[in-house]
Amino acid sequence: MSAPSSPKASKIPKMDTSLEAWIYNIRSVLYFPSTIITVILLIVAGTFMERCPRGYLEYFNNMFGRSALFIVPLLMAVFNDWPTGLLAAVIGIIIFARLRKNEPVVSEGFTAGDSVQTTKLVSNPQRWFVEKVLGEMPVAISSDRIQTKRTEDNDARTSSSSSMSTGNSSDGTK
Amino acid sequence: MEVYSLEPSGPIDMTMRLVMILALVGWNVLEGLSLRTPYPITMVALWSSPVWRFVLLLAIWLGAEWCPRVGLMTALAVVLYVVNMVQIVN
Repeated sequence: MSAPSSPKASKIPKMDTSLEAWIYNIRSVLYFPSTIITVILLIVAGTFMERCPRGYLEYFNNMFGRSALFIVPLLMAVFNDWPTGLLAAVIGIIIFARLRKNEPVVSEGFTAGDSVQTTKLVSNPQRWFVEKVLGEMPVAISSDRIQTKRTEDNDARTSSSSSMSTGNSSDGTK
Repeated sequence: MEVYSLEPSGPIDMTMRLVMILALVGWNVLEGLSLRTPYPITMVALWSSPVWRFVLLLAIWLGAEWCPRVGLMTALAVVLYVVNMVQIVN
């Protein structure tokens, strides 16, 4: 029977202070919350990635951005777990698919500086009847001018047939 | 990195994994990788729904948590579907 106060029984192993041990310790403590939060963020991001404006995706359209789309899933697989890395890789591929598609960059919202589309603040406190009925309180008008063009019919055959039908109807005979 | 056990927990689990893997392989071969077979019109219409995209991504994560092979096959099917939809929609 050994004494409990003997130096051999109460010997505490030396603490591993290496960087790998610190990372492993942090990962073991924060494993569950970090995984759940990462998965939720990834799923929400992937859900609305289709609606993401093209201008924001252009940040990934360079060498560093495309490299990040490979490196981030790898880091998630290493530090979280394998399914999280797979989910991140799928979302990265979705971003790639949108980047590969040639979509025009369209500026959204109010565009200032344009001669046609200028933002005008509503200074008149009296609202229109429609605004009162619908409960709207607009603070600005994105554009109060509309450019219209006359309709053009480039098809000569359609134009002639339409004129013929008009002539026949005015004549009263077919 | 977490080390996953590839062994199923029982005969029912093994059968369900096998059925899911075979179904997903069949779907990927016949529908995903074949350019001649378009996706069903219901799936094309559902692409605009955020709930549908949420369910697809959740299926990848749940499938990968269940079985790595099921997760990989699900991810492949979803990637092929999403890339196709991104190209044809809008």
